[in-house]
Amino acid sequence: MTPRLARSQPRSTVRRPAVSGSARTGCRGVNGPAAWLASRGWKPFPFQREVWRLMGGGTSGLLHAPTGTGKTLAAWLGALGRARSLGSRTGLRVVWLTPLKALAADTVRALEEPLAALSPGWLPGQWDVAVRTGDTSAADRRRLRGRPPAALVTTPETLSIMLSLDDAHEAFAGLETIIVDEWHELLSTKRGVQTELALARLRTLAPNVITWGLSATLANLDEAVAALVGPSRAASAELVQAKVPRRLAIETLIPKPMERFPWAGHMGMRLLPQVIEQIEAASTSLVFTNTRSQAERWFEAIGTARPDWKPVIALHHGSVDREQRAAAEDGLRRGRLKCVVATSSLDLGVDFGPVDQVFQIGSPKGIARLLQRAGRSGHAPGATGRLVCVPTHALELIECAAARQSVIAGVVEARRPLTGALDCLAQHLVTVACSGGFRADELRAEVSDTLAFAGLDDVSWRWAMDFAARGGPALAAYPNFARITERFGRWYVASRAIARLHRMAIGTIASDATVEVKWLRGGRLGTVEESFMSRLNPGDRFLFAGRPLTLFQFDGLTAWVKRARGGATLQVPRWNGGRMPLSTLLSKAVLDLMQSVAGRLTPPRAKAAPGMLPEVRAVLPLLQTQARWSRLPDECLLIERVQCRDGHHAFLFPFAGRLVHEGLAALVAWRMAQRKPSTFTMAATDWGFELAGREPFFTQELEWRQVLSPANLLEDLLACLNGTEMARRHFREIARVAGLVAGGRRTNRQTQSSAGLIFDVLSEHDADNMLLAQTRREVLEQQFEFGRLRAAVEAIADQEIRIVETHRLSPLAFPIWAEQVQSRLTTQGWLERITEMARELEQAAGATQA
Amino acid sequence: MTTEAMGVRIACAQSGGAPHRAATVDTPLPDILLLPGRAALLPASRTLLVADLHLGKAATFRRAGIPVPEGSAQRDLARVAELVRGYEVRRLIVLGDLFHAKSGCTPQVFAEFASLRSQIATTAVVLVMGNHDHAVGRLPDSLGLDACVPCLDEPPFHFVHEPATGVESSARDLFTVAGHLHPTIALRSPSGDRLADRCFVAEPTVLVLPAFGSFTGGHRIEPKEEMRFWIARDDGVADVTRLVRATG
Repeated sequence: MTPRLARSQPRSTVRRPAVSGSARTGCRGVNGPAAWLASRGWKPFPFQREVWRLMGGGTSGLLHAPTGTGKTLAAWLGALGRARSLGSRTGLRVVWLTPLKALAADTVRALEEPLAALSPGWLPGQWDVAVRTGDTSAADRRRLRGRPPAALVTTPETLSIMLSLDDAHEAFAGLETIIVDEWHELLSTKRGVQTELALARLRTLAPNVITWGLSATLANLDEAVAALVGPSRAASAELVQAKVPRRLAIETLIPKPMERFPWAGHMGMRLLPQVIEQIEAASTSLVFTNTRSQAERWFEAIGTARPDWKPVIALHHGSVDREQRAAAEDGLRRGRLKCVVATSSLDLGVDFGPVDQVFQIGSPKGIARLLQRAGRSGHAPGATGRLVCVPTHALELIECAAARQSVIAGVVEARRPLTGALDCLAQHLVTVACSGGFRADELRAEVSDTLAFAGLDDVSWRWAMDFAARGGPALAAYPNFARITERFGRWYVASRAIARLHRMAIGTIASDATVEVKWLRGGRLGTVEESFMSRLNPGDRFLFAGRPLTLFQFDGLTAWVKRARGGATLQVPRWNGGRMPLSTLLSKAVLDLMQSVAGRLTPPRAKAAPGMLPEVRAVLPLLQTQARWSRLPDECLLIERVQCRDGHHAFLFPFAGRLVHEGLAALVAWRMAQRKPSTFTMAATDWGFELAGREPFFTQELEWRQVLSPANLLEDLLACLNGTEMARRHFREIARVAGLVAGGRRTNRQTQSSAGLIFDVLSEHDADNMLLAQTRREVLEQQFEFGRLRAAVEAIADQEIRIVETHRLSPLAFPIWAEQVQSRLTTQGWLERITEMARELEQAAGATQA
Repeated sequence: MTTEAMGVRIACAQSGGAPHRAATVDTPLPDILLLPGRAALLPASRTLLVADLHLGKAATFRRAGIPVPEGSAQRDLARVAELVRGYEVRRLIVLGDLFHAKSGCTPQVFAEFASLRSQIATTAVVLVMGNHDHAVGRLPDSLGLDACVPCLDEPPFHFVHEPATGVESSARDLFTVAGHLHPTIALRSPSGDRLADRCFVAEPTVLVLPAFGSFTGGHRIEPKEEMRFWIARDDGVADVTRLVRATG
């Protein structure tokens, strides 16, 4: 009989019975990975054998394979094979890093399965898998430290905390293998930088350790390898690519009567009957949305349309309580559920088993994301994955078509690792100082062997040291400050209190303050942003975790709720974040598609055109309206000018992605406001951007050319950052990582401050602070995608500009105008702005009276 | 524009003018003059009012290992001295939260305040104790405070740190002048311009001053019908009541 694993305790340590234990008698077990796979009726793929061979030989590397092809088994059985060759020993041997703590329990389960079956003769020693994340209780943490497991599943944040503990040197000394799961998810984030630093530390503590990353499709795999193993080892690391054919069918739901106007959010729900019809026809479906609010709405709508499905549908997103999420995952695994509505919270993770089809609500925004979500269906070998795009407004039809074409063409996006994140470095210095201290030259050499800090210069290193030791280079500005101090050539943390605060602050995700949502009669529902809850009054009704709720009381930390009765409209929380821009590749594909259509619009019977994509055929009337009122974007840059009751508007369509458009809008507004003090409102989508102001916009091409010119681009962009709130807003994340503000839950009242306030104090009293410089750089690179923006501006310089006067908003302008997120840029004094606001309001009042 | 409540007239100074001498035969001095720089003046008694300086807040942060630079406290104290000199102030009333926390009250912070005290030696300084001041503990005599009081009644005024919540609980028939809330207000125009800043806010029987300290946060006030608002900046003060009402 196979030894029983304590499956009833999914989150606790599960120990394999000792080799000599009676439980194993009568159980031979299988000898090695291939035998184990064979016992399950599987045959190892060539890429799995390749990984086992390389890991057995002590080589590090990256395994790139599509979702659901056996990456986990490749790495885990490889790690066990390596452990086998190194012989029996105690202590921690394998660290398994996972990007989401929600995945940890699943991962443990997947790792335990082969362990239970492998024969003790093949794998000697005591093998157990434990999990440690931010949710692990203090008692469990103590137990794990006292008796470390052979393999530990954890997150980058928790790994950093473990590296900051006094016993980190001993705890990791025997480490043999590190596996970084879903490396592509971490790669281009601050958490990726934190992971790189932690991996470098582990390589110092355990010089013989090997590192393997698991990644889905990515264009820049070589960079991903260098970031994983460090630049000095990149040449000797191996890249293994799985050649597993996966069949994929991608189609788009096309609404029958097309609306003339693409109003965001309307059309999506109109497709509900069609979605329900298709869910009905299949046995299990996943419905992916791009935001949590959208998930709440769709879950509610499906449940209202089919009350009989209520027991077999589930909602899964990052704010829903863990137990509810786990129940949804479990339901999927057992095939009990008809349909799960989810956000990216289900993008990652181990296999769920039988999912027949996947719906993508709204544009997928990126080719890699489309592939990843599509990969959730049809997992059985030889099965065909099926993904159905459900556009939420008419123009998304074109994005869906472009994405499908790109998948067929076999292109996919890159994810660039971040470099020069001094906030992460400053945090890491304190982390290492907490654990036995460091010599400055040694640690510098160590961090310089990460891709993130490969070219670390003296100034940056010294600044990071000064920041940790004295607050900043100007000693006078930071009296009584020290996070690390030097004793006999080594740097240690300044006090136990500082170490405690630091461990609490480790973690680089800038999350908003959240509050718990609880039933009045007991039980948790999940968490929601404080900013949403503070706008509600007792008695207000809202939709959360798939349930209609009434707020009973909100005490600042917990929102107590009751079930809402009656059918009045419900508010849906808007969570921040989660809005991905259209990727460069996809934007390009969209523009190409539009251009190919532009030439075929003119004959009135264009709808009969053969070979036209079904999505394009569906939006043809809309494109014809656009062509009639204005024109279609082609090789020219289109500018539309329109006057509305609320002021003057200009719409520009460079098709360079939302982030670039935000940057361009700020740049153009700033350059205009240099000529005359004024205030502009700006909005951007993936297709173009809008400027709105009190005065009419330029009518001459030459004037537009001047404000769109590539000359002085960087200088002007840096200058206009001061005129917008962007830098101040972006500083929040940096301040959190560098330990300037506490994030998440409210902590010490006396040291609470908003990042904006600290930004102001730094700007005034320590203007050379490098975190401010980093903020500007990150806004340029990440917020505006500076490289892409420069390319866009240079392209415009060579383009013809077509200025069109429209009498109302054109079909392409409409979604930009309806965009809810707007920013402002002003070069006017506050008093002048107040005066103008007052005048505007009086005019508006006069207009309503007249 | 001068507004009146409970017989108390509130006016705001013209930006950039020399407002303390602004009284003429036609326009008598108001009872409370709101000044640029987030302070208020009682012209009749030449009393300057400031609230919520939170001195030593940056030092509190540094003690906790958060590197916030020095400088805001010195600048705020210099601004107090400037206002006292500019308006020939006889008495300074601090409406609570002069200091932020015990851990931030370093000898340097106290010394800086004592230095201000010596610069305005002829002016009386009264501290109406705030919740943060209580937490600091006993204040040293070297600060030269003439009085530390829980509140101060000088009809028609009742000076206190925390404004009482209900109208009924406000002191008898007096007009309350307070701090504590760190009020801010957001303005919005039809064309999309938005502006949020610190403000004075008045209800019929209460005036709340903005936080004077530059390293202090704000609390957004939800406008109500009878409230009046003045945007309070370093370089000016402006009545925005009508704007707030039109926006609401």
